[in-house]
Amino acid sequence: MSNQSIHPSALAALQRPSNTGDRSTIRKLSDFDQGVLAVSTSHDKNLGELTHRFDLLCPRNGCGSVILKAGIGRWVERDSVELDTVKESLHPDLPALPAPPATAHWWLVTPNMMEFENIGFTRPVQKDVAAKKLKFLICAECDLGPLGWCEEGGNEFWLACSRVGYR
Amino acid sequence: MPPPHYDFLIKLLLIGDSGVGKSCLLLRFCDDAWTPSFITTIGIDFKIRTIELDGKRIKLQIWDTAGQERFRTITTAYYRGAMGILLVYDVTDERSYNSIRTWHANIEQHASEGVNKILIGNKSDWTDKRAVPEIQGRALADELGMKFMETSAKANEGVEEAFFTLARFVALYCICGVNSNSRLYRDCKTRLIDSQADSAASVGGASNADGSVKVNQPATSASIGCCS
Repeated sequence: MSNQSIHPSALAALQRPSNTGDRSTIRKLSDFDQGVLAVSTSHDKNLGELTHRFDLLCPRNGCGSVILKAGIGRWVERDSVELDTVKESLHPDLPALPAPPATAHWWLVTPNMMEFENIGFTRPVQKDVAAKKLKFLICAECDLGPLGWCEEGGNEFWLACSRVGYR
Repeated sequence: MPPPHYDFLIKLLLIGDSGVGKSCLLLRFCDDAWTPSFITTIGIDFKIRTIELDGKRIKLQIWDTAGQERFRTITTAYYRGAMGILLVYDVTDERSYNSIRTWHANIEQHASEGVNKILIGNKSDWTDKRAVPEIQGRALADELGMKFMETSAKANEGVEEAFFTLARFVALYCICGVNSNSRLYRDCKTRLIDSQADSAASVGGASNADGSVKVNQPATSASIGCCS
């Protein structure tokens, strides 16, 4: 096996970052006047549902790692989740989410993690004894996060609409 | 919009002593001034990366040992289904180089037979502090029958290349380095044709539709990863 060769064009293709476009200006949700409405469209299969018209990116300028291709996540408004434990370390590209029980806007990804193009998972964290363990979703290429969350062992992955970039 | 498809799922592991820069190899901006403190505290389980190669979409699931290596408690469960292993040492730390044999033995014991391995001498840009010459790394790799390369995860220079070149290299090695008549190749293809959801859920660890794969828990099914 050791004398097998690597396809040269393949190797070259793989040396590129996931986002080869302009990564210096990544549009945030706050850049759109109409918020979620401006970035969504009706879902292919289920017209009653909204999905994102754009690819979802890491919101960090200079990174812009492609997280999810357009048309995969479903828009859901539901209870906010406390993603940030250390408020003061919040990155400027990550707006604070409303404190629960207020609601927040999410892109729900199902039925499994392989829907993602690029994503990182933290180790599970237990916020309180009664709650299920959560894993936070982070950028796979720069570790920016939390961008969202999932339950340990769950098959629903929640990305905060305000914490991803759009292109 | 068509559902995203992929042609291969590949589970990769990063293994080596603490402090050799394994986690850094997963990053594009390693020396960035802003380090997310919550990540330092919690730790990263794994990452999913998608790459394209000759029109094929390849999903890589890349596992870091999340500190388990400090206790040398890397379990069989962690190795299960792994198709590529990046065995990492630090060229400025001879001890980490000397540990490679132990790690290699560990891999031989726990990982599936025929797993693709590559030896990586990290921090090659630290010329002043280098303790392990490149030739020494290469000799060990030859002896253990692995590919070898040196890397530098130094920020801004080669950020585009550092880890991802490696991950991609191993991916390519898994794909291109494997004969298309091989069992590994056939298993990858077959599983994906059978059921995309099933293969996705089963990559890397837990066997059911389990979003989070658990390193420390023994899997309840034998069908894990593409080539298990």
